[in-house]
Amino acid sequence: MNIKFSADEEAFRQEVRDFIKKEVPSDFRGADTDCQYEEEAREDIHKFAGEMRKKLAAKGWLGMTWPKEYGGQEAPFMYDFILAEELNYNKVPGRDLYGCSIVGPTILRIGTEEDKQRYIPEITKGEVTWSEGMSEPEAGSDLMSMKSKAELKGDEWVINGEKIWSSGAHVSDRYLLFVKTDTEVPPHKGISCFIVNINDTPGVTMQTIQHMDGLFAFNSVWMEDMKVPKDALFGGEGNGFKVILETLNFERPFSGSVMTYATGVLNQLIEYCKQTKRNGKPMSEDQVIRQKLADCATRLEVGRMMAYNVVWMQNQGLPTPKESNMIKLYGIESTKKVYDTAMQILGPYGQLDEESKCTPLRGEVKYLYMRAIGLMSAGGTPEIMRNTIAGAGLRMPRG
Amino acid sequence: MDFQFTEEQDMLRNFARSFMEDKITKEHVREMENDELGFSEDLWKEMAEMGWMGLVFPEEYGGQGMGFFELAVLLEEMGRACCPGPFFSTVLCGMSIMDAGSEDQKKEYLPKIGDGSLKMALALLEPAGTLSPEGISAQATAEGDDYVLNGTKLFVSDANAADYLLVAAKTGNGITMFVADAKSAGINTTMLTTIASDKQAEVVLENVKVPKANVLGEVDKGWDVAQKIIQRGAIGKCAEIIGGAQFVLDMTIEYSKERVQFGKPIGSFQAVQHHGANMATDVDGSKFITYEAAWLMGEGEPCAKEISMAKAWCSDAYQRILTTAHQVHGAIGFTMDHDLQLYFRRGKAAELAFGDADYHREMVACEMGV
Repeated sequence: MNIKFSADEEAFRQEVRDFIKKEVPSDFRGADTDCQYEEEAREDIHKFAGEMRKKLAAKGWLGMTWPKEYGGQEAPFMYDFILAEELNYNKVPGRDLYGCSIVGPTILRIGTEEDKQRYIPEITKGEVTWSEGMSEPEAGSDLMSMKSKAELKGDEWVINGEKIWSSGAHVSDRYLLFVKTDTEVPPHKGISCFIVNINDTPGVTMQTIQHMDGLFAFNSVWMEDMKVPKDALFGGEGNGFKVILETLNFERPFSGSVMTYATGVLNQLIEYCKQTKRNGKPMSEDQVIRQKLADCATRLEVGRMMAYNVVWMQNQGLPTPKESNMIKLYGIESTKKVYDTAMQILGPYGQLDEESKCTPLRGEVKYLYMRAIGLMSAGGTPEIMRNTIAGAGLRMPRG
Repeated sequence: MDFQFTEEQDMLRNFARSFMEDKITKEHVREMENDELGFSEDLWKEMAEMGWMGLVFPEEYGGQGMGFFELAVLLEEMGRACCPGPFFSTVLCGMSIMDAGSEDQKKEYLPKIGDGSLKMALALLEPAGTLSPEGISAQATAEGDDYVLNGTKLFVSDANAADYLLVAAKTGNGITMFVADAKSAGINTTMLTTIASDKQAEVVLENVKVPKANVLGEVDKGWDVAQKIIQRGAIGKCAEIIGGAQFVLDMTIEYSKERVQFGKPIGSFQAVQHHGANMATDVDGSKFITYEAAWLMGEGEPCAKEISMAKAWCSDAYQRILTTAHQVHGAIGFTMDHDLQLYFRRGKAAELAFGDADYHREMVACEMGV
């Protein structure tokens, strides 16, 4: 047991902090790096994120845990996590969550040599961003009931169907798409995965969906006789379910780093409470507020330790069927709890928009409070997480 | 960051677990709840022979020279087994002697604690029930070579078994800690009856003479000693909690696989599965925040915030775990015959000991500079 970062890890964290201080303008408002909706929906932030991505790539920090032959640095997993923590805490966009934390690791794990040569270096160079096509209007938590399908016609796959909640698909370069290639076999054998350039392929119609917070980050994607080359198939025909499991396995631990974003917000809120007087005394002297702030900080610290444990286990090559689902469940629920509590503490001021008069903390808490509702469903609902923890983690009997 | 236990820690855990599975059976635990002394002197001797009482004391004082984290591992196993007795009280007081005591005091008390021949109890709280210097009104007045102590101490764990009491009392300009012989004239102990059937007492001090040589640390500076006791006590309780919590989780999952209703094991129903997932998440969260705080404490790193976070979290989380465990067990779980009640009752006592969640959240707020 050693609950401390090594000197090298600490030095790396400092290097990231120095980088942020140097490269991020002091008047940058920050962006929601934990799920990057703002980057996907706001043009100015999208542009800034693109510039930062290039700079992060130049430092060699994108995919830094990956093999050197594909542009990585073969660093331990903790380095990537530290990078994500610092970027999240300081609200700096640029590290593409899908590419770096989800798709890249999946390709490296189950892709062919050709896949790796083709897709990994462009991630480490910061040249592309990724999005995913999983959910359908009639296939959410019950993903296996998806209806979109691909048929092999000659040298091409012809894909028809509809995807929804593809976050950032309208601004991404690569799209990890799951469709059925065989409807006669059980779903976990009939789904295949494709990698496509969704914005550059005929037969695709896309429409952004507006979140109640006002942003357009999600998409509906309609595919009508969309033709993709044979080699767009990834992971082998009928192996889509395996690919899904891999992506989720990699995605979930990084839910741990979303709590770092919430920690940044909480620390701003604490400062606000110290500086703002209500009823003649600083808010921070109010017993109820103190209890709430301490509870939020405690929640996030508990999650930080759980997350480090998952990162450590994965670095050791240990399976984490329980732990990675737990951290996703815990990370999202405690993040939401922090934003809910922050709204309560701000009282009537919490409802004000960024551009309104009298708005505290540039209205971010209001935005996060609404956005957290969406986070609760992203990448698996808390109910599905609990099912998985119970089944795969605790080996409770199947229903 | 390394979450692997050392070989030494694993050995200690495995050894402690098999010893307690063998000796601290649930029958024994139940028997001791009704026993006047509350623990077995024979087992106490066996534990001393294994070096547990002196686990954290330096070797020169007859100890094992291990750290606080190792003690937490042992306490985790004791929590798992509901191990009765004055182990924690004794070691906690012993640790205060270890870091605040004079060389003579260390030589006098630590080897005896280590070999099992001396037990101690902490007489800190008073009727006010608060963990602050203001909550202490017991008075110590200097008279010749002695101090004379007057006052009432409450919730004194294991006072019935203790050879010495570590007493906090007011002196001229602060609080002073005294190592008082429990057999001194003027000490009147009345046992309380408690939810956990543990041995807590009211200790009335009436003109109790304690030699000046028995002042622990400096006169008027005793609250520093007390604070460290509260911190160690809080983490020790967290360790006991996570041991109990893991056992309760395992027992609940097992039950959900065996208990059949509507023709299926109840563990196959989503409502029950989600209870299991919630409990498991609370168990893991409690473990890692406890390990963090215990490890920092063992390394001598600043850890006041982490300790309070751990105790705030574990106190609440264990209540959630226990209530959910009862929900899954249904009626059978609340019967005296079932083992779950042993944990449920101790869980409340652990929540209250060394500061509850509200107390520690306030400490967290202070540590964060709120």
